[in-house]
Amino acid sequence: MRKMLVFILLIAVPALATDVPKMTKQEAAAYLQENGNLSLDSSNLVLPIMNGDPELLEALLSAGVDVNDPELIKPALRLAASSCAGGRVETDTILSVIEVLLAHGAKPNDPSDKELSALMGAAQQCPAPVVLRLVKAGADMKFRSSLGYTPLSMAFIVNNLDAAQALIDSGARLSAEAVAKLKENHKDDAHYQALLRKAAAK
Amino acid sequence: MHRSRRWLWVTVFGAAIAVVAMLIATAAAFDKDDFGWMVGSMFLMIITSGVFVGSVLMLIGAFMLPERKTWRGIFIIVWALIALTSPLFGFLFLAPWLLLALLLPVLIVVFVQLFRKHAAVAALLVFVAVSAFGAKPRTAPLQPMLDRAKANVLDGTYDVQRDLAPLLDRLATTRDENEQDDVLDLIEELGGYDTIMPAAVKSYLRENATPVILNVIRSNAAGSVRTEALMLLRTLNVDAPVLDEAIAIANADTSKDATAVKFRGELLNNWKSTRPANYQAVPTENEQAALEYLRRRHTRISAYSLGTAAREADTKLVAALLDAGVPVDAPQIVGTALTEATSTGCVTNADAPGRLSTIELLLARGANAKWVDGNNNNLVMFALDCPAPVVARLLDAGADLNAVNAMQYNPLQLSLAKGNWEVAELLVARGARLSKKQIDELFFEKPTDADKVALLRRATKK
Repeated sequence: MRKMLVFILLIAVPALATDVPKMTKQEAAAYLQENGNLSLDSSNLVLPIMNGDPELLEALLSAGVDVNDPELIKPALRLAASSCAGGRVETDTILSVIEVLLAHGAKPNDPSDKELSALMGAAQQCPAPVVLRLVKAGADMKFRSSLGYTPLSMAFIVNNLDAAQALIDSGARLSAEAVAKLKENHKDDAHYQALLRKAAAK
Repeated sequence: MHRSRRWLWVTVFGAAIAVVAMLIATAAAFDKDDFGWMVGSMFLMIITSGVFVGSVLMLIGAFMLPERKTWRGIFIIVWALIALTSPLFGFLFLAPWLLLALLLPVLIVVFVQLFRKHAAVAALLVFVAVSAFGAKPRTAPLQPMLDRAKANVLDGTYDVQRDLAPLLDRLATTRDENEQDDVLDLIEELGGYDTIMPAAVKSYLRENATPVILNVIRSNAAGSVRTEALMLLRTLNVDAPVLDEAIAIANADTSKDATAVKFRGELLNNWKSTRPANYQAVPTENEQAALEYLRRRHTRISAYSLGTAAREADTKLVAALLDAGVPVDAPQIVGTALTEATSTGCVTNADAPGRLSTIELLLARGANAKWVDGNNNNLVMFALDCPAPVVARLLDAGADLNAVNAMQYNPLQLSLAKGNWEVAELLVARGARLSKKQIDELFFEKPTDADKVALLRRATKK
């Protein structure tokens, strides 16, 4: 039953995203010229990712900006996860942004993600579809920061239970040590405690 | 007076007018500093008419002289004719004038001989001629003084009293707009707070030029000069009270240039809050070589440059800036150059080849390894992105291994949180310890790999 739900979600999630048509290099250049004549600098990726402008993003990347440019302030998918904060950007727009980024080769597990990965960021502040899209793209659910935080423990810590549910449904689990610490929070929240039990199950 | 003597006077008077006109034109052409001010739209016309009127008077006077058919009379007529026709030579007018100048002593002798019955007048003529040629210009020409001062400062053979003091005197006394402008320009070039010039020159100008500049701002000098003087105070980075005084003078201005002057006052006022920190420069005996190196590197002498060079682990540049007088602990946006070299420096490029040698140099020049920020974060806490040898050097220099910041964290806890296990190893090896409780609180989930587990075990040992 659960596996079927995940399957349905995984099929359904990409369908939620508004499709951004691919652009040729010439089309991209023309689009950029009409829209503020942006230079092909990776710093120009930040605003369309953070503000949810997948079309401009597609134009920049198709025109030749490197989605994995190490000069970018944060890895592109981590920026996309940050754009969930505060609910400023619609979920399907964020999903479209992620589609564009993935299509242009953005890495779900960027080697520069030492203490925070895109999935961990999404677990903290994104709705379930975004978390699932990253998982589907191959984001590491076992990512661990130096102090031992994982995407799932983060989702519990910040009480983003939709994200926690999505991660558990995708197969993420917590260590006994983490469960012991998390059990102390939200003792009166039945949903939280039930999810925690699921996360502790083998 | 005898009739012919009257005509002789007319001739002498004409010659005097022509000679004076030619002298003025020559002076303006060859000594722009002292005489350039005379050149205006009517200048050429006045000079030409002077020469014309003078030589015509000479011709009339000479024709009326009884001696007009002697060689003396003919000489006067020829001289006057050359003068009269000289404007026809256009820009080659100097050729006939040179001839006239060469013949001038003969002309004077002729006049003296014609006046021979009037010894007193002859003596007067000779006196006027001698004093006209012997008179020195009112003041020494400025440009050579400026050139000499700049050359001496650049090659390090300067003496502020000999080279700069006379320039400040000139600025204090001259009313000539061009001169004021030239001296202000040189003060800017030599005395700008971050310009690549000797520290002694900068501090001399900051101290001694400032009162003169304030007087220029206060004076009724041209608006362009006073606005330049106001902005020069920014270039010199003068102290706040001087700045306030200048702003007050600018605000009270009522001259026709008041708008421009007040605007500069406003600029100074805005700049006050962001101005770079002043420091007492401490140059070394290597200053001259350092200045030459900094000129090649186009690097201005400032605390900012030192911070950048330290961050980029550019050891040679750091050395040159220190030799040029930037104090090793001159304040940076956060901390000192040593902070820049270890914090931001390691974040941007931890493995820069010059990292350790830069830190070594800063420490050798007396950098304070015990610096802490306002939250009691010490240099080790700032250096947690650095390789272990850098942290080891800071500890050796006196940075506290067991410092505790305002959040109650010590360097070991912070290195674990950053995941810099190499530095954590070093800190534990140097004796840093944590309680089991501190470790439990720090980690959400403790690491499970063997070497990390072993390190945490060592960290909790007595």
